[in-house]
Amino acid sequence: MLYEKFEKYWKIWLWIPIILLILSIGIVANSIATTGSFMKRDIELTGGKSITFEISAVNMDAIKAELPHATLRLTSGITRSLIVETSFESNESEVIDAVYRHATVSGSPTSRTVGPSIGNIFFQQAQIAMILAFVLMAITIFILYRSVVPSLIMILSATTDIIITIAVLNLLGITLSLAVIAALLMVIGYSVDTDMVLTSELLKVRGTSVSAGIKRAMKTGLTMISTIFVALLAMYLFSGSLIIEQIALVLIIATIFDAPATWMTNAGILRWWLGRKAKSHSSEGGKKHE
Amino acid sequence: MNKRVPLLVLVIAATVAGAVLLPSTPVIFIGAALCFALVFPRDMFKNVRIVIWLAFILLSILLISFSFNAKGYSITSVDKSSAAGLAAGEILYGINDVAVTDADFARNYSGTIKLETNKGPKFANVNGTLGVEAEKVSSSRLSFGLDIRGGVRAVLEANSTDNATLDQIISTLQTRINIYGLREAVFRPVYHEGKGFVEISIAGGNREELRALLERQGNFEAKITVSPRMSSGTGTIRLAQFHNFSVAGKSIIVDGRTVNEKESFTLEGVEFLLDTVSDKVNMTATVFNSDDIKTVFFDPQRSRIELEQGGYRWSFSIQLGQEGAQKFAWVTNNLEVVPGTGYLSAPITLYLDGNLVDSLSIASTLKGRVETEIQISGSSDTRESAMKERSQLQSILRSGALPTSVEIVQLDSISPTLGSSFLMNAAVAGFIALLGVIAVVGIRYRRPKIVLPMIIISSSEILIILGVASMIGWTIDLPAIAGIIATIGSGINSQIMIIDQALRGEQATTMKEKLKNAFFTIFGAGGTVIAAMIPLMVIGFGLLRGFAITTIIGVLIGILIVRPAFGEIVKKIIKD
Repeated sequence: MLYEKFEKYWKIWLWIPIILLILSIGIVANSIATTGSFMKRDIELTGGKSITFEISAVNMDAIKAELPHATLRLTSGITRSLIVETSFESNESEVIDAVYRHATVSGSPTSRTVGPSIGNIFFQQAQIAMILAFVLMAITIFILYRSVVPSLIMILSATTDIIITIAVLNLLGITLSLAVIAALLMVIGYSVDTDMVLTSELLKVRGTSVSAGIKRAMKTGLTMISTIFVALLAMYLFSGSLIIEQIALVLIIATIFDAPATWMTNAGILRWWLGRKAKSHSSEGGKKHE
Repeated sequence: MNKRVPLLVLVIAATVAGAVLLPSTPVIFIGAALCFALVFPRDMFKNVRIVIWLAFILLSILLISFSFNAKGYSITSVDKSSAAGLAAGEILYGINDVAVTDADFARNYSGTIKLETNKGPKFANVNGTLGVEAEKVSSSRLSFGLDIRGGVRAVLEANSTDNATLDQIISTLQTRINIYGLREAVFRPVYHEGKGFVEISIAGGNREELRALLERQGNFEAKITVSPRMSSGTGTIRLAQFHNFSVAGKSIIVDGRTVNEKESFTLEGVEFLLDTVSDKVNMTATVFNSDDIKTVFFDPQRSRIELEQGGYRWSFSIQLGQEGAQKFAWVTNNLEVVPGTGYLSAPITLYLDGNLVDSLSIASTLKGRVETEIQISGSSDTRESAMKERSQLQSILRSGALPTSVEIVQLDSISPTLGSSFLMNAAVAGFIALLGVIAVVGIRYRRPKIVLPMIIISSSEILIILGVASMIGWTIDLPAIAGIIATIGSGINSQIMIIDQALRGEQATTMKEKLKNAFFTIFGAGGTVIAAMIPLMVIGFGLLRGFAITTIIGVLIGILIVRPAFGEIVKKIIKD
């Protein structure tokens, strides 16, 4: 069976997410070195204008030709939106005129102008919030499990998930907006969910073997991951809102990489640690390791 | 159980039909209660967790108070030139016996029209548009945010690091709204690393309205009405010199000049308006205006709030120019001291752009005195209202000018059409997401008895979150919707954990112990989400803060109310 194959080579699987983590750290470090931020920042965080139109037909090339310095984005959904992003200094009515010439727009546009100073403040606040969120998450785990090594493994697994997600977002050219920050904070909160299922199963449930425990936790964890994945995919494809789309995309990536982080790294290291513990305390009759 | 299925379908169908045709909330409430009675076996109603959950659902239905058959448009603002005779807050159902539509507010009318409102039918003679703005009466008590209703939101950066200055800016802007009848706005001060910001949201507003709010600056005048003592048709106005006048019909003759009622005249630089002439002559002198007020003091020495018997006393000082102080002294010389009160016989009245905004009694000690620093004081029941009164008056005396220069650092204007189509998109996306979740869970468990409660539980979670939102007056906007999505996601995760633990085969462990394990993980998972959101709730700006708060509320409802009930339901199902 597939699971037995996976089980047999757990020491090898253990390294896959770790290698991915190291690669990701490289990508994120490169981004920090070149742009000064762990992801390229959106106009919301650097200052600029963003104008959203609800459209039915659009000639993207013609708009691009008229607005060479603007970034154009199109959302999916029952009603589609075109988002034009330009610099803080640019003339808003020029952009609106250009879009009206080449697209069928319904209703009036929605616009957002962010001054550079406040954009920077958003970014600083977001960084502080993310660091604090991570620290508080780690403290919560220590309080819950009161066991250093399993807690550290869970935090490592969550960190792996978060950093790989940021690296993938970098590779996909996604920019850091307020919505992406919100989603990354959700990832900090959620990435430990499956790790908790696994760790609780192995540490708290008595009278079952490590292997059976991992298998059972994996069944639960994979069901969790697949339901969330399906729900997020629907939100990504049909919401028609850039904010919901961005949040969904970040969470989809995080959910995909949560599986290897939990079932390869976390499960692998935890299994190794439980094995060592069982050997040194074999007389106490702890968990049986096979 | 099977016998109940057709009955249940009947109840649901009747509820849906009734909610559209009859007052919705009572119908939904009774429908939901009947459904619970049909679905749950009697003994489950003895379970505290189930009862709490059901109580929250029913309470939420009442709190949200749906009305799907609501008709008409609620008037949001009325133009000064409007001839329709409608007031803000009134609900308009029909015009000339035809139901109102969006287009009716842009249409031109001529002649008498019949308006059907919640205050009965009215007839109005309208030439042109109705001159009012209105929005559809909402189908629930939920308040939707700017992202959904449309409007403008701006963040101002104040050129000051002082907290009191931000309060003063907000109070000044609020005063402008009150005096000029501008559209209601919501203000929120934000502090960040010594910088002060004010977030302004005007739901349903546009940029022009925001500009009017920020740029509107009035002309301030302080006036005192004097009625000189008369003897046989003559009297005296006392300024630096004495000016005798005599009454002639409806006019007076002063310094050889004839002045009619409602006409103004100037004596030694003081402008007077002749109000009325009868046995007594009333005339109003303008004692000072915007230019005469040199400074309004905000510092704690000269702007104070003190506890006094039965309430709080507020006071602050203003600095007058020499000329204004002189005029004030001259004019107050014409007033009498009212015995036993310590005040003069007439108050000083304050006008902004010709609108009367306040009136203050003048202390008798000020009579005829040239004082360049004048103290203004008043009393109020609470500290908050004392502070409010004081800062409103301070901003009026500053002619409604902002205490410091401000810069718009962020400006969002949201189109109402985009917002409403967002809501529809989100509903469709949510429905498809639900189908996806049903598919995955169905494949995994293959038992409708397990899948169905999951869906009911998740829906109840959304309902309770909305109920709490309408109870605390929380606005549903994009971040709140993102927060609700986050909560439902974590909720479904938790339900899978509960089911999987409950389905464990071992006979050795009891159901209670199995669920205990699941709940340990669920509380842990909820705890980490809350831990991750707390920093944002504390330091975040609008968008992210709203998201964090909604997520925290949602997760708390999930782990404290909804999940325990789900545990009990699963126990029952697995046993059967």
